[in-house]
Amino acid sequence: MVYLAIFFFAPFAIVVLYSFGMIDILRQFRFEATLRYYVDFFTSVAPQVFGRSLLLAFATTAACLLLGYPMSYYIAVKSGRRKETLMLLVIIPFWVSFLLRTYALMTILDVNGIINVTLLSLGLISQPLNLMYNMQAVLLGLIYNYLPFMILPLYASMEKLDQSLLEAAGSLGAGPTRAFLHVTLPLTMSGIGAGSILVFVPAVGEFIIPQLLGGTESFMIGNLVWTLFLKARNLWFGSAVSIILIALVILIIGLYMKYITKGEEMAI
Amino acid sequence: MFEVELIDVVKRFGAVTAVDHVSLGVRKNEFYSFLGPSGCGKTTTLRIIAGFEEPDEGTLKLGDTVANDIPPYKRNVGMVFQHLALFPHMSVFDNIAFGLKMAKVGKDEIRKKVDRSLELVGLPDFGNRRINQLSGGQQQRVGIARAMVKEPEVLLLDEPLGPLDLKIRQVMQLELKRIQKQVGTTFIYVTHDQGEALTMSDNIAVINVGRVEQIGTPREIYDRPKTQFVANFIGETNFLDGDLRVPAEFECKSLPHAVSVEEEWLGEGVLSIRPERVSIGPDLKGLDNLFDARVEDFVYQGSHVSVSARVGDNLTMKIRANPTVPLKIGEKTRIGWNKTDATVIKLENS
Repeated sequence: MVYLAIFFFAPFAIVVLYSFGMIDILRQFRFEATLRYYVDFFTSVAPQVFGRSLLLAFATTAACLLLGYPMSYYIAVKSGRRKETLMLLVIIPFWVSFLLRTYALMTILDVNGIINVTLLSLGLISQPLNLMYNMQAVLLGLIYNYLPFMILPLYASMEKLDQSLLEAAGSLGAGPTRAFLHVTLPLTMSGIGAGSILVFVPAVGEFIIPQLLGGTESFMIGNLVWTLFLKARNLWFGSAVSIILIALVILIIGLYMKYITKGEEMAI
Repeated sequence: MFEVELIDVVKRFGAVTAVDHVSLGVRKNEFYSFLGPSGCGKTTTLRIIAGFEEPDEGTLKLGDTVANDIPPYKRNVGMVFQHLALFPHMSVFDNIAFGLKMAKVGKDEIRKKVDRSLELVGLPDFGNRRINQLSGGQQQRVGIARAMVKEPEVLLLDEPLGPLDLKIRQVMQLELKRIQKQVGTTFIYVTHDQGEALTMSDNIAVINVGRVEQIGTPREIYDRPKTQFVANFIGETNFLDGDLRVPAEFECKSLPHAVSVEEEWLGEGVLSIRPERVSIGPDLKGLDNLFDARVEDFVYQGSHVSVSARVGDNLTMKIRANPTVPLKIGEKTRIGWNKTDATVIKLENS
């Protein structure tokens, strides 16, 4: 609790105060109590950046789910003795720094990167492709970095899944598709929920990946906050943007959880 | 005409042959048990009938159709699983209704049928409960109701009473038998509990290491075991090695004179006689076979006394005696049995 108080609630409270116009907490405390920075939000580029970030985060979550679900299912249910090895392969990227992994992706996508060099030398293209500094590159980076966060909770929920439940569904006349829809899917809903949140929340606030892989048109909220705090030194507006982000994420998660639990109950 | 028929079915898992040339036939409305020790292949045989495993060799027939390749969801076969496999995310009602929903039965019809099957298994008004709110015995009943509600032609039960304690087991055994009589479905029941198989079955297939040792009614299996495994696995028995040189006279090296038996064939064999079919007492007479014996040891067990009696020089026989018989360790007595009480198992290589 002390830890939380010092490292979470106190800084958070300071950010909240800044966003409502507090000026300098240490020397001459002044508090304007203004909504100015929140009004500013809507007249700035921020809504557009928000929209883009949410879109990218949604796309990342959806792609991770679509990729991760069959992968986890295969590892948890079908892989037999190779299960441990495959799970290790999922986890191994974590041993390398996040930053390094993203730089590695740059060496692949770069104008002089592996893809372009290969395609050029095969004569499939005559001009190097512009694979970097756009939305697709950012999306790819996000998916690549966050996929394990989707796989791990999905794997956990699938490993618990009793295979005889699927056999039971089969003996009761449910073919593979319907057994999946009525048994597997509802029983892995908790994994889907956890994985989606683990991917969506950090993805929406991501700033390193768009910084490294993106161009100006793929600027995300994280970059905006970072610029406002560290470049523009506009602590007040930066705080307001952060608070709006937090509120929005909480709202989305709340709606999502409600939908997921409802889906679990209504599965049949 | 069989409802379920296996002809020379083989199933291998890697180097292990789980089901080794099994042939058997189950008639309509029969209560048929697969009995054997754990790992003998009885569950695999059941899973082949359910369609969860495909036989490597041989034929599975459901009614007139060869069913080797028919997927489980297209067979009209219900199954009660050993660990129940009830859907944890559904209510009791939804669990039982699942099969009907898959068959696209109308809502009113489903309600009627589910209510009726809940009544059949003795759980009326349990529909809204969640699975984890039920006791083991109740979950068992839901499992049975779920498998039965579609009125399958065949119901497979994989040691469904295994996890229950003895008292509930006995209640459920009678319950199952009642349900089977009431609905008249063919039951195929897998168990390793010989008592269970004997009380419930019309026919039993005794299975050992993937092979069918004997098929017969409980009485045939118990009284006329065809192999030593069957005699030993089902109940207790005394084995006497010897041979038949003259028809109906079994010569055993350990006994002072020949044993008169019913068997007319000649050759080497093992005589099997159940402990409760052997009589004991100093004044015993009027039986086909009588021998002098000495009481070695006895243990009082309430309904009976387990006696070890030494016959001849090096043969000790187990006897289940009436508690009123006077016994004293070391005392001379007589034992005997009628020839209809014993059976001689022919040894295969003779």
